[in-house]
Amino acid sequence: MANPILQVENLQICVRKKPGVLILRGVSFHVNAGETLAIVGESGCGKSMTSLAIMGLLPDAVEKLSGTIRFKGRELPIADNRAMRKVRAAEIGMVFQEPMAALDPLYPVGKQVLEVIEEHEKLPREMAWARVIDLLTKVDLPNPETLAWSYPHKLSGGQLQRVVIAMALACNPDVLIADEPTTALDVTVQAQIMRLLKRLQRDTGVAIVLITHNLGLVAHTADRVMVMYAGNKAEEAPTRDLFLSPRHPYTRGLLDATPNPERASAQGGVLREIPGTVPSIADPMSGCRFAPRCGNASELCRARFPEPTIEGAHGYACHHPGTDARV
Amino acid sequence: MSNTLLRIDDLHVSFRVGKTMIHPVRGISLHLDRGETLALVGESGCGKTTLARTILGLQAPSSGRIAYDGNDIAGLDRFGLKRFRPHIQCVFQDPFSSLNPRKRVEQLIREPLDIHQIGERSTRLKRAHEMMERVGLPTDWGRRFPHEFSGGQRQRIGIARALVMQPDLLICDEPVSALDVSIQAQIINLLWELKRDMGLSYLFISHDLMLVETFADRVAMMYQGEIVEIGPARQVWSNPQHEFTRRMIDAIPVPDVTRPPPPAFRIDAK
Amino acid sequence: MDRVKSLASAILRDWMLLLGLLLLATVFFMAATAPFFFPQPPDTMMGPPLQWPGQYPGAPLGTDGLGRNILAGLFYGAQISLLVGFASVTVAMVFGILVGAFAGYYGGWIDNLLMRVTELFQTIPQFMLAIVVVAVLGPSIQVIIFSLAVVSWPAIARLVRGEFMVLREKAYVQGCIVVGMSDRRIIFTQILPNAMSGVTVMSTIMIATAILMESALSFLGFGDPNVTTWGTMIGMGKNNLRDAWYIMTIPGIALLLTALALNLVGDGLNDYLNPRLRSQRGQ
Repeated sequence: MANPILQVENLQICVRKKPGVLILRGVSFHVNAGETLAIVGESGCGKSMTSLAIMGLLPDAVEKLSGTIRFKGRELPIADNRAMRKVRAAEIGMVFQEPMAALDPLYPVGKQVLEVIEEHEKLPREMAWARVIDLLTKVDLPNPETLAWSYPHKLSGGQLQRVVIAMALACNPDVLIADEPTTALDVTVQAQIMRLLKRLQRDTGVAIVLITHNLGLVAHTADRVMVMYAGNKAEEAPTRDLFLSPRHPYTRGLLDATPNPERASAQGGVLREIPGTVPSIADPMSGCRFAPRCGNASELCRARFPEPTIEGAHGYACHHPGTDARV
Repeated sequence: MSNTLLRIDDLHVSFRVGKTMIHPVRGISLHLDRGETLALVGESGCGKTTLARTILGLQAPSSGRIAYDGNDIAGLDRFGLKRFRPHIQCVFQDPFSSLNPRKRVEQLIREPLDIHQIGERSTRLKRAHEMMERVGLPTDWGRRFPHEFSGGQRQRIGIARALVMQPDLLICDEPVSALDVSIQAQIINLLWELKRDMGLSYLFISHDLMLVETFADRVAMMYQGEIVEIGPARQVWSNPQHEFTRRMIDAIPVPDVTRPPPPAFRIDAK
Repeated sequence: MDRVKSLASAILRDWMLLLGLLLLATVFFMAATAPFFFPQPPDTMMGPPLQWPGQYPGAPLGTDGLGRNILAGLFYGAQISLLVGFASVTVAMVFGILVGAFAGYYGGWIDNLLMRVTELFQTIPQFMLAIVVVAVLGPSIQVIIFSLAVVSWPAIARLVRGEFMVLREKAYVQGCIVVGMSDRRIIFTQILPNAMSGVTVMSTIMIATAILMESALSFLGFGDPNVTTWGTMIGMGKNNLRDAWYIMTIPGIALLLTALALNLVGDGLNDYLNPRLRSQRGQ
């Protein structure tokens, strides 16, 4: 087995002072050095909460109930904001969905990259600034010397996201968490940003945790995929396995509901939907949380939560996993 | 009654934003047949939403013609447009801001009937309830407020409100782009069924070519205020003619691991 | 019904709001029961002058320089304060909302015209303007209410205009235009209810300001000479400030507590009505 650089074990996050209202219901996974792990799911599944927990950026309204997050073998002090400041950017970088929100509108973008470097490393100004220009060049921004002095509102969404990526990678972190990095961007810009991330990964060996709802992105950029549903890990597998032989009915439903022009004729012009909606986090149901929306659900599913099954690199939590290959 | 429901000829729209004049729609011509779904696809800022707003009379055109069922409706004032309102309705993108937060759901759906005095006062509520059922909302939720519903359910409310007057043309402005994949499929299927059952025509505005390709009859590709390519959906997808369409298709990640990644995703691509 | 319940629970959770409401209820109680407890008008001489609180049994809070019962003055003064405060702000609200709504909804030259007029009123110091109006039209309760409305409406108009400019861009307003709703109906039934929370908060605080300004007018002798208000009581007491400071202090405290109560209620309502906090609770 490869070398896990980030390891999350049985992470439970609840609404503050309400241990019965769980947002994450015990999630475990790991990220290997240099790989891309995609975390996929719909809103409310807990994927963003997972990334915020790793960064020690949990909102005030929630708290960690149990579980550990280990980075290179040692536990991250996620509740200690001061200690986490040393980890952020230096060891784990983060890219957000809204690049505009991640940047301060009052400072030139180059200064903001510089600030990240100076926060973590003692460097003479000139060397740090040279590093800023180097970073902006690496993320393919045109005329980095001039662009470094531009204010955020002068740049396009794609350029801003490149600046944010430069900031996230400024101190050579080992892991980069990208939370819906391209959702706010046009599809052509999305491709450029994903290509950039993959190229930077190839050059620096950074591991990427890609949080997304877009299965198309996953298919072409991730090594492994973790599918989440309503605070649980539903399935985890190498990308190819997950797309070709998904075991969990939610994964299957998600794949079928995703428009795919190459399969459109087979579907007769209509998409296959998953009926119903995600259960409320306050719903105390004891069984599988997907059971109310699942076509194969039995009494067992409604009564007991399925324990994870591991088959090599493929894991899933389902009493009645699908077995046939999906073509 | 001709077969063409909507015809747009050489439409230009320009307006002032602050001190600068912008020109988001630059000479668009298209037609939409009865019972047809025409998808209008483009990236942000291409003018597709301005075009929709102009057809709906929310934005005055600077020149050109919009003919609805043979009647020119471009530049009609609010009063003149009122006659056409019941025929052209619209579903908005954001399910959170598109419903008045202080109105109950049944009120929201009933309101258009009240305004146009359609049907007897006593039967309007019944119509609203029928419409709720038709879009898959239990009628006993009628007394609730919009914030008690999920995004997908709110979009159903918006659809019920738009369809309660039995329009011929529904303009859908990115109706599913704020929704999750599984909910997106529910709404697309609902729209598809409603179209079949009520004989509607759709002008479907989207940034997602892959999505519209699965259900639109024709696709118009819009780029910088102009339509650069228009044709049957299948054909646009499999045999794109314009450079912009090709570039977009090259960048779309198809969720299929058996095919190679799209060209724009390859690391060595430039 | 649910809204009543949630308002009730908000009141109980927030002790500041509760305190404000209790104080305000006391003032209302005083105003309502004044004729019952004190059948004699408040300007009749009830006993010897300059009796300190507790000194003379007929007037528990003492008497002023002319032997008038201070407690009776407080009760009757509450009537005037509440009347002036609520009536002037109601008039100001009606006018301010109309101006703000039309300016904000239509924009363009209508907005320009209405806002220049509003600014004209705002450039004149409020209190000076109120004095001028009273001086020209003569001191009576109606004129005082009118003068305070004249100085209060511009702030409401500006607030409403701001809310309307934001709300008219919301998709649901566009939706109302698309279904063919008239402008009037959109303004009054669709946008205004959503703009009212800020106006409600502001108006409670403006009632406090109006009550203070009325007292100031009365203190300076611009009040209605036929009624006893807290302001006239304070004004009367200034001659005895050295030897009988309670004459000024007692109505002063009443004024302070009333203004405080209205501000507490305003703050509490702000927390309750603030749309951002509301939507957080909604989820």
